[in-house]
Amino acid sequence: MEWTDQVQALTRAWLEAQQTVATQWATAGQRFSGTDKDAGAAQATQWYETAAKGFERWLGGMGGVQGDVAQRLFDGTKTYHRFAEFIVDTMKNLAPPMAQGTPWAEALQQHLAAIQEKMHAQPGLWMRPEAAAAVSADAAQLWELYLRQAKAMAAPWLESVSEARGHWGEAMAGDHRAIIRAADLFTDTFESTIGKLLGAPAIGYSREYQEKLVKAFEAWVEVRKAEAVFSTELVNIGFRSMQALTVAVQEKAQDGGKIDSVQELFNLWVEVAERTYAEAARSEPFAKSQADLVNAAMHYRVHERTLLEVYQRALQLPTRRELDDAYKHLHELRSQVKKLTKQVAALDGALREANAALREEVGEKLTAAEKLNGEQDKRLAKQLTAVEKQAHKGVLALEKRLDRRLAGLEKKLNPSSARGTVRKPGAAKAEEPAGRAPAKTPAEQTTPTTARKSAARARGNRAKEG
Amino acid sequence: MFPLLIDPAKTLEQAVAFNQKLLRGIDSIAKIREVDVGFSAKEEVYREDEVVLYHYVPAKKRLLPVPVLIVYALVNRPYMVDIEQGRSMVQNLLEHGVDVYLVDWGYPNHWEKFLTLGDYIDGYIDGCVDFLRQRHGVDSVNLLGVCQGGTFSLCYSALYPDKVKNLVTMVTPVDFHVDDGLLNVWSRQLDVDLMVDAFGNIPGEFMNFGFLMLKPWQLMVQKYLGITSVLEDEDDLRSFLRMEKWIFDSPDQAGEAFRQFLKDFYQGNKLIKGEVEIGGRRVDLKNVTMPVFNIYATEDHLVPPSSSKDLFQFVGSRDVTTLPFPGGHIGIYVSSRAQRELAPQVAEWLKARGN
Repeated sequence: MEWTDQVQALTRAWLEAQQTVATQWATAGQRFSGTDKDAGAAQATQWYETAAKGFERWLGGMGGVQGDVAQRLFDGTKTYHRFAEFIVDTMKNLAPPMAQGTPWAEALQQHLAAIQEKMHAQPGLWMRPEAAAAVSADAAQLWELYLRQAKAMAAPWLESVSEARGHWGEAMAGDHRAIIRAADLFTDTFESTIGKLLGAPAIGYSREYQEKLVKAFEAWVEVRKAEAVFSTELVNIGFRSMQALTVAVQEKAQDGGKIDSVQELFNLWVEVAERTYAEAARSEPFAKSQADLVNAAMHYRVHERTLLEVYQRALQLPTRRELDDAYKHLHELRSQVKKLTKQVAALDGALREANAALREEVGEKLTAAEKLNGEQDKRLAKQLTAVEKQAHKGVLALEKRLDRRLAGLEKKLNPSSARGTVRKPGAAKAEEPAGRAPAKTPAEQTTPTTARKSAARARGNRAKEG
Repeated sequence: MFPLLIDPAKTLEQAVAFNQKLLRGIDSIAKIREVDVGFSAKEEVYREDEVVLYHYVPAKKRLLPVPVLIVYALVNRPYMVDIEQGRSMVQNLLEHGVDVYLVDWGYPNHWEKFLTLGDYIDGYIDGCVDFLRQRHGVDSVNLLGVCQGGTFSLCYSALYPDKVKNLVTMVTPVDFHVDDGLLNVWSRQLDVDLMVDAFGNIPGEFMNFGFLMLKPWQLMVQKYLGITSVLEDEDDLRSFLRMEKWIFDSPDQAGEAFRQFLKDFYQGNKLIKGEVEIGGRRVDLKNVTMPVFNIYATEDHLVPPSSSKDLFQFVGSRDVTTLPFPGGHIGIYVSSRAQRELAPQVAEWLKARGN
């Protein structure tokens, strides 16, 4: 069947159920005067209860946000119908005293007071059985209720060892699963003799489990007691809300107003109830009773875990405590890794910065040195050029002087032929006096290029020395 | 005169009509196969453990130069700030040229129960901030903290004032010892150590139940009766389902972080006393010297105005703007007024402060 077909089929079934019961309710409504006590307004919600069961099964398969929302819509509707039921029932009860001349407000107060008295006298009417038993200190009933819950909790673990049936000898031989069976046996015994054993000291092989079970049971009872106190707080708030609603309705009547639909009354109720609740919830007693319930529940949860650990250990499964140790270790290691990673990154960054700074500094120095070298080279070249020029001048002057001397010598040696002879510059070389270094020609003298080369060699030598 | 003139026949008619509407609505719900949340396009840019930093794709070419990092609370999921088209604070910020990033805390696993507030604030937030500083080449970024995320942002700003250019706090609890907040009153008598010992990570359902108990009739009953009127409109229904998904999508709370937040903040009220320690360093709100824009909701039942509004008294900043915004804790993101007014005000405030 298609999805939408399913919905339509269920819708039809639901509406038919509603129609059937609605007819009954209409009949009851016709008799609505308080005379027909059998026509309970509860019929108004009977159709809902009947049909909703089918719907809830279907909703279970819807899943996701949609399924959750549909379920909440149903829950809200259910609460609304319960309210309608309560109102119709209240009106039915108001009819007789009003017919006898009692003012409606007074009749309403009396009706609410009667309900309140009844609920206080019989908490079992509105409290969960466990809480009611805790209030009345009915230990046997409490134990029975607790055991039901404890067995449900332990069921998966017990099932897993159900095939390993054995006896005490197995436990003595090291079969830890036997302890579960022993515990089970102990539980049965404990259950049958609850009145006698509650205060008795723990004994025997299952002493550890027995102690844990008793402590868990005590913690569980504390939860139920706290639950009873908190439920009473909530119920009292409910009564105060009803009284506040009565006042609100009275005020409306005094202003000439009227309420002609359950929806309108419900909205007024929510407004009044929420305000009353907010005031009460802010009070110290409410905060304390709520905190007591939560704290007691947490306390029991710790004991419940301790009991479960008996099963887990027996099955050689890791316990919550052991896992927690591992998780803690993991967290510490992860924190250390992060811390170290951060430190490494910081060091790496610092190293990079230092490198960059060093490079910059060295670069600057190199640039400065090169600049300096360039300037020195230029200066040197200039000096060399000047020296070169001067040397060249000197050579020329020397040559002239030599020419003059030669000419004088020639004249002395041969006065007649010497006249008019011109001495070629190159000829003087062969006639240099012995032991005297010949003067270099400009081409042979040191040039700026060779000077730079020699300067570079000198720098290289300095660098090597450095 | 007796004011209750409820006619059974008429009531019956109304009940039948109501139930028919309810059934049609549930039929409509069943036809919706997927409830999508989160509207704006985004990309993962950084990850540390389960924490992810998302960058929303900018809507404008010219962006404000300093990015905004949204720090959401650990409770509930951060897609509330971008839940759907037309109801998205992120979308509105993008349209005003804000470069938006969001840190998503994820769902803590059992093995993350030992995560501390130091891990969150000194670790994850700092990691995200450093990533953004490097990515954008800026010394500091803008933080926008929401609810508990606002408290975290305050702590971070006090610890690293040089890394935060401007701080925006929205519906942020600051003074935890106020009596008009039920959570503030209720939490004082809880045995938090026992709770963390019992639960490990605090279940999201447990937290959620506490939030619903703040207004049980309105939140658990009346809301669902009222919604039947919109169940037949698919768009409205989808919006409703998105909100429902968000409300009940509650991650567990890492045990150690929860312990410290409850004990030091809710029970000890140490933030305003300057006694909170994060990662071994004391959080002094006087170190919050950057400009602060504090926005609180006037009808907030989770973080009452009295808890938020006096932030200016505790921080060291001389530039504190306080904005009371009409509405509740959630309405500040999704109400139509918030869409029109809030993001533009945040963007203008940022622009006026060197962005």
